[in-house]
Amino acid sequence: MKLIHSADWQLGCRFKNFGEKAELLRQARLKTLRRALEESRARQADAFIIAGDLFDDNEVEENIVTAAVAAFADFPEVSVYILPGNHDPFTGPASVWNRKAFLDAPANIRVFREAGFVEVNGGFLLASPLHQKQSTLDPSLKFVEMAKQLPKGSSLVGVTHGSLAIPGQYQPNDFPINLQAATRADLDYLGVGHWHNWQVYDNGRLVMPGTPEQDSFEQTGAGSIAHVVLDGHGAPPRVEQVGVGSVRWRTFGFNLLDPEGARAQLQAAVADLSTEPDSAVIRVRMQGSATQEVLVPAREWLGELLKPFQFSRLQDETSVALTRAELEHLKAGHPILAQVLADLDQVAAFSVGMRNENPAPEPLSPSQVDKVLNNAPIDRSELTAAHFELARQLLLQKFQERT
Amino acid sequence: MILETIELKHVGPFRNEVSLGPLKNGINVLAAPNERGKSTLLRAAARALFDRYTCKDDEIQSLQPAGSDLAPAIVVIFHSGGTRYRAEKRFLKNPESQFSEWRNGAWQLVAESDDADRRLQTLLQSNVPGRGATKAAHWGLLGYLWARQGDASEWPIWEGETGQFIQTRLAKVELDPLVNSLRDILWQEYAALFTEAGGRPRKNGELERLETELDQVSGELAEVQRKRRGAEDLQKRYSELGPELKRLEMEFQDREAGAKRLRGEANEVEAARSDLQLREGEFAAADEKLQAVNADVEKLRIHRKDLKEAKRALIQAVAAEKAAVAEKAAADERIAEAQTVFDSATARLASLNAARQRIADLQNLKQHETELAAAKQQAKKAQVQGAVQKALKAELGETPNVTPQKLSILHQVEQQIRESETKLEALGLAIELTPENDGAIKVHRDGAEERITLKARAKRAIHAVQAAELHLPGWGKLQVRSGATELRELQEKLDNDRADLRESLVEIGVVSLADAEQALSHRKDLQMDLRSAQEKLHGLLGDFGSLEKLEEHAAQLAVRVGALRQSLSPTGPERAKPSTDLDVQAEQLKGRVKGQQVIQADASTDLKNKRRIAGEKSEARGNAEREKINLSAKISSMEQQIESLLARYPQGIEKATKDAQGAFVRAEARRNEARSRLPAEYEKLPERSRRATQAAEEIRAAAERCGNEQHRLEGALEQAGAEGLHSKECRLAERKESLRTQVDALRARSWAARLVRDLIELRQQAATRSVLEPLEARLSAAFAEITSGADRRVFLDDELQIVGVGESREAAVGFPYLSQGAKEQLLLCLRLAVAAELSAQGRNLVILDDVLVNTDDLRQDRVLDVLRGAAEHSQILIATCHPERYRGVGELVEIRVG
Repeated sequence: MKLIHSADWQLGCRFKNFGEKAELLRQARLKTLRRALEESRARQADAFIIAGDLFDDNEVEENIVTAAVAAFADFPEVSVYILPGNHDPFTGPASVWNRKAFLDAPANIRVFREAGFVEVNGGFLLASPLHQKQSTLDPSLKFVEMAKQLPKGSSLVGVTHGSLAIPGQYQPNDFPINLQAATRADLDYLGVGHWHNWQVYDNGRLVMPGTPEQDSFEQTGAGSIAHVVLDGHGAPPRVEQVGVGSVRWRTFGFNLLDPEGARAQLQAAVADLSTEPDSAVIRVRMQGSATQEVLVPAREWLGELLKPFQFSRLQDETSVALTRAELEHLKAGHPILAQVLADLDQVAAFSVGMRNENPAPEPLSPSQVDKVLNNAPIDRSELTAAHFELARQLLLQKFQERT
Repeated sequence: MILETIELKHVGPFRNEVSLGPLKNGINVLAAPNERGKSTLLRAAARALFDRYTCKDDEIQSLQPAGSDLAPAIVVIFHSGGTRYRAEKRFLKNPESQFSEWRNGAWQLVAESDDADRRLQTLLQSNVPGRGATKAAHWGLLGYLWARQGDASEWPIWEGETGQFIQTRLAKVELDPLVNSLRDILWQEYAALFTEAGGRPRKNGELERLETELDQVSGELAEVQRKRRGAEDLQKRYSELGPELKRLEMEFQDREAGAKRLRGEANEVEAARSDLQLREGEFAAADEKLQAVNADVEKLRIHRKDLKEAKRALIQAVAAEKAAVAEKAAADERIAEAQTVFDSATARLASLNAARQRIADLQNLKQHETELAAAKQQAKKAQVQGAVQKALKAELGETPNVTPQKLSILHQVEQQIRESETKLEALGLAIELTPENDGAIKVHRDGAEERITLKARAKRAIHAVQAAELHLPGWGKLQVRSGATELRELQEKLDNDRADLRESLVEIGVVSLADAEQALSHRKDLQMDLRSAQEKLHGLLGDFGSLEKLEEHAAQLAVRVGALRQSLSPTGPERAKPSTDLDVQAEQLKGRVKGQQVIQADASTDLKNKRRIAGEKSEARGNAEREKINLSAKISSMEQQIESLLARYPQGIEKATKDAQGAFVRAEARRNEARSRLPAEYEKLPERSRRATQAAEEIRAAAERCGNEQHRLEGALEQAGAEGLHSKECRLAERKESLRTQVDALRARSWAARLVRDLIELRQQAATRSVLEPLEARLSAAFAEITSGADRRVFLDDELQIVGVGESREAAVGFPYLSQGAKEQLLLCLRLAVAAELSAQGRNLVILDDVLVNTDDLRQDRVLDVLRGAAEHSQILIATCHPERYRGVGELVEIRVG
């Protein structure tokens, strides 16, 4: 018995920080789904299992649903078994599984709207779908009774959706699944979905493949499906992690301590992604302090480098730096600016409680602080230390630009 | 800069060439009457110094002579930085500009046209607007030192680069172009997104566009989220409905089964109840029949017993009747005897009463006769006394009606007459005669003539009221008359009083006062007699009140006496018998009547008793007879009833009783058996069955409603699910995030720009403020000299504007609240102070064009003192139409033609 086990496709999901380009990332998932189906066909799997959360929500728009069904329909030799998860639970008429596309779905698609089992190539596929978004019940408990009804010696594969009951890592109402759930129900394999990184427990019998398409920089174990081969009841499953994800999420650093070295390193890293720039989500964290002479060209270079990547973001955490001599020169040559820098520290200390390490010899009066804060177009209750750092950087930046 | 000469041609009233100057370094007074072109000349010089020669603004055209198209041409020669310059401009027609410098004893052309204008601007630190004529704000320092006509109480705002520059120079702050540049750049960055005044996002700016879209997206997102919440609520309700529907359906099944069972039981009970009703009917009939037979048996027993007793009573009643008849006869005999005795006593009593009545009538007659005689006597006396009273009244009516009051008035009048006469005599004439011989004379006085006898040598006084006429024998008539008015008036009064007295006496009916007094006395006597007669008559009449009533009483007595005499017809002895005898006889008869009345009463009582006894005996006899009859009838009736009862049961009453008892026992057993077949509380079963059916129906309806709602929710949820709200929410949230990031970044950067810029400005102002002191001191000193107020200071603000005047900044009177005179004097002092402060770079020109129009003479002198002091380091040009105000000060200059 051969299976392709996937989960958490979450078609139609939301992407923060990408604005209108998020739509492209959503479209990419449908391509990945087709690639996974192709993989299943190529490996002649008996079942293509989706262990919950095919969709991000029951209320995804119709074109996403029809596109998914169309993808399955294009692979009629692949038997697709879909389990409703916590994002797309079977709740009745409003459920995505009651859309016309699924009600009239081709024969190779089977949606487990209720708990049950189906025979697959001499073995049995047992399903425990979700009907709500939250529950403290372990959905794999149903397998215990279900398995007893089936012929002894058959290969048993369970499919469900929920968090793994790892102490300290799950919410009690998030469908906690016992880590020995497969053994408990005498299953040969228990395919679950929910978390987005690859996980294996219960001596290799309990597998959570993670999302097939990464959706944040933090998901390092995502982008895979599982290819499972069962050699008979009681034999350990043979599980292969198959990468199918098309979008690569990468974070790079660019430190101004060594601008030239950083340039070379980044250029090399990006080169690998340049062949498919639309399949890369890049974040460059620019850090360190430098003068305008260094900063401005560095920013310009980075802008050029990232221009081909439509899913790129430059996270500028740099600051304009003045040497001690420059700072002394500023204070001596432009006493008013020196006072303003001290004033900024004073106002920041007053407004957001920052430590004032540079007290002015002639500090502003409270009414003067009030006046300048009231004139500026942000409510003072919303101010953070970053605002004052921005003001300081702005002053120094403008100063450097003119000197 | 100081001014040397101004030359004009084709300007305002000057069609030909005119010139002013050369001016001195100190005070120059351009004095001329109004409308002689003083201000026009100065204005034209300003246009030549500061405006582009190509300018065709109205301001330039107004320089043209009225009604002409002549091109205004102006030449200004001035000194700056120790060099002598010449600016020459022609406007409008063939405009041209030349800028020359005095070198080596001759004018050297430095620049022409635009270049000349630019050189001039650089030299004067002025600028020009994008289009149109310049304003004072463009004139550099001169813009502040030139007090133009009509602007005496306004100080130009320090604005623009020149203003700032001068401000800085005044405050002796080193110019830091980098800081200014930073400040301006930051402001521009801020102002690109926000309005300068209100701090709001600039209309149609990037920030406003983003925030508008953000609001729109937020609104749409909220609407989608609202819809999603609605769908979630529907889903929740739908989830609840499934179990609810199942529960209802199960309950319906239970209820329906229960209702069916109860219906079956109710039907069985109904059949059993019908049987029971039948059995109960049979039982009731048997019971009724048994009771009827038992009743007849009891009746028969009673009838037989009563018949026996009635027959026994009849025998007794016959015996009683016989005894009662005998007793009645004996009683009747005793009544006859008692009646005889009673009749005898009654006759005797009647005889005694008749005798007693006659004696009483005789007594009555005698009393009436006595009273009649007394009444007649009394009436006679009253008649006599009435006649006396009548005569007295008649006499009183004839006596004059004098009352004491009237008499008193008459006495008063007489007294007045006497007093008047006495007065007259006292006032009147007194003629004393002492004849030598006896004789007599006639005296006529007061209307009367009198003869008076005189004796020789005896003095005789003759008095008269007013006049007297003496007839002296042998001598003739001598008339003596008094002329006194008082005497005449008194005489008139006396005459009036006498007339009044006479009228009063006539009215009363008497001749004299004495008659009146007598009449009054007589009237009193008569009235007393009359009262006495009335009292006597009253006593005679007594209670009768009048003579007529008394006479009527006597007549009534006479009638009664006549009637008694006729009815009694008394015998002679009876008439003769005195009243005393009659009283004795009457008393004796009274005793005898009483005794006879007792005898009669006893006889009557005895008779009544005997009659009562006889009545009782008669009643007893009647009763005995009726009892005998009744008993006979009763016996007959009982015998008939017994016969009738026995006739009902031909088979015999004992057998009938036995049959009825057997039927009753059987019916009772059948009824009990039917009753035992009914369940407990069988009466409530129909109601329970109905209730169970209704409950089942209600549950069925609730389940139907639940199913309908579930069906409706299915439709709504299918529709909501198909809307793709999650996808819409995703896109909107993503867009909102993006917009929010952009807006926050823009706002943060603008905020930072504004904050830093404000801090720079704050620090610049503080620096400026710290060096304001010298300028304030110079200004205060000048103003104190004009106003003699040494204890007052003038205060400037950070913008070098006058805040006010006072002993301290806090207590200063604000500039707007000062008088017009004080304002123009303060501004004059400020101009002179500014010029003095900046004099280190050379003298400065101060132009005062018809200012100090509100300054009094005293202060005017002090102003001249101040001007004289200022003239040591400034050139002052005063244009005025009041030359007398500046007489003795500086140089007088005039506009020269040619």
